[in-house]
Amino acid sequence: MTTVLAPEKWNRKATLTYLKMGLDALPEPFQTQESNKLTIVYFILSAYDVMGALDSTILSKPELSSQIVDYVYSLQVSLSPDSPDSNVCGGFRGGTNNGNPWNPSCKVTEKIEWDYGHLANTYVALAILKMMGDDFGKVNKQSIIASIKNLQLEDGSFRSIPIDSESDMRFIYCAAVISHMLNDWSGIDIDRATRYILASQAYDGAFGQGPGLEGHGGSTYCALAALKLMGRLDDLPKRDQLIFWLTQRQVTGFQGRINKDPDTCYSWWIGASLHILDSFQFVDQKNLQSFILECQSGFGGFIKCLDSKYPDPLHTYF
Amino acid sequence: QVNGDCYTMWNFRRETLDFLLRTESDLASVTKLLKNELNFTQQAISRNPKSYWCWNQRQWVTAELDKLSGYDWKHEIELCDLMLTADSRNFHCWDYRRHISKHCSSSQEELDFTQKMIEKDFSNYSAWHQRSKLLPLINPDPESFKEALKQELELVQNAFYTKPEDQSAWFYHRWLVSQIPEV
Repeated sequence: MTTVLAPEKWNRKATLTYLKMGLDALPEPFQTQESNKLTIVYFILSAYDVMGALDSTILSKPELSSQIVDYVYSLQVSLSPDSPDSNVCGGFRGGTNNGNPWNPSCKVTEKIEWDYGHLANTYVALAILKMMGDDFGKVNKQSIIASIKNLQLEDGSFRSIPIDSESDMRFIYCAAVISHMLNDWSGIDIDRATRYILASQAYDGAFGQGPGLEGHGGSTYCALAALKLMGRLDDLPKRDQLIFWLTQRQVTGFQGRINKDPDTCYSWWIGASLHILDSFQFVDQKNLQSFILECQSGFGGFIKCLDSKYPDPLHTYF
Repeated sequence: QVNGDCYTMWNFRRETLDFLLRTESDLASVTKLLKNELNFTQQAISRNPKSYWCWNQRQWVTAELDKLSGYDWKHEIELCDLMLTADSRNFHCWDYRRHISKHCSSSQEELDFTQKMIEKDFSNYSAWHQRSKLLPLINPDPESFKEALKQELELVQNAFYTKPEDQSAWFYHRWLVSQIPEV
């Protein structure tokens, strides 16, 4: 069953049902996402928020809301402020796969090997808490900011975890959003980060994941959003070329790179990039909407592209 | 096999191997360990061609093998050839190729490779992109760059005469034209 329930209309009820199913339990293929489960929770909750349904489905139910807040806080790495690891391993985990004891009150715990926050999961943890109306009272801001600082490399990019990992545009974006939400930029060397971003601009104006890499919708969004949050959007060269590249990603829906199939998630990556550059008015919204509606799944939610079989929370959200 | 992106497992594996490499004195058994790991990463990459972690691990293993007893980097070119035949737009693979080619392949050989890819399929934007990086490297002086631009303009015209509706060649052409006043 690939699609479609009345393609000219959005079946909001089916989408809401799909999102609820995702919060309750995820199907077997999602076991590969265990270490990043928190990002899936974020996609679902933020999708509710975008649909104006967060209140009726979650916030109006105190027991469910506090369960979610506890779950998020239980994933925070809570080490003693006197321990040097607190400035390295801080942040939030993506899931419980390390086997940490349940600790939603964020009591100080002993360091366990291989236990550290992950930049993307710290970002979504804070975003979820914010949506839930939490005041960040139990967020260990000092530990997170110090840990972010430790993740920035010589070339300005960020790793996601404090041991070996890839470092690229996604994590500069995560670091910038975290700093913005915590209103503390001391963890980022903005000049170095900006240099890395600008060095990653390809000949067509788009941004790759890093220097030398091909322009891509996802990394372009991360680059632009990071520049904007850091107050450096005016440093952007080839602005008009980039706007042109972005608008040319529209086939019916948006593709992420030239000659790829349109994919629902690029509605966000490309759409938001155009918005940051004050150019969303160049989008053919009718065409974009009809592509998205064609991607409604019979299971509720949205599929990635017309060849996909099943929906997933990421594509539904974006 | 279940989860190619379980980064803790990859790091644990690497730390374990690293410990064995440092404490095991027999060259043959150390080499065997690394070669087994090399095979393991090949399987992982085939199953998860877009996993950062799998490519990272291979990058580490090949560097260790090279340190130990020298490594024939052409194997990596062959792996990239294979993976790019399966998916010519896999940017993880293109990036890996950029990384390993400095050991065993000249910029000109890489340019020739991109020409082969483009002649197979003019829509291969990743190959055109790679050319945009290689041309200035091969032609650092303005005169030879000017000559190279002329040849590129011919190549790209072939592309958009053959497939005028394809964006790749037109974007590349724009870039070529933008380079002309600077030369």
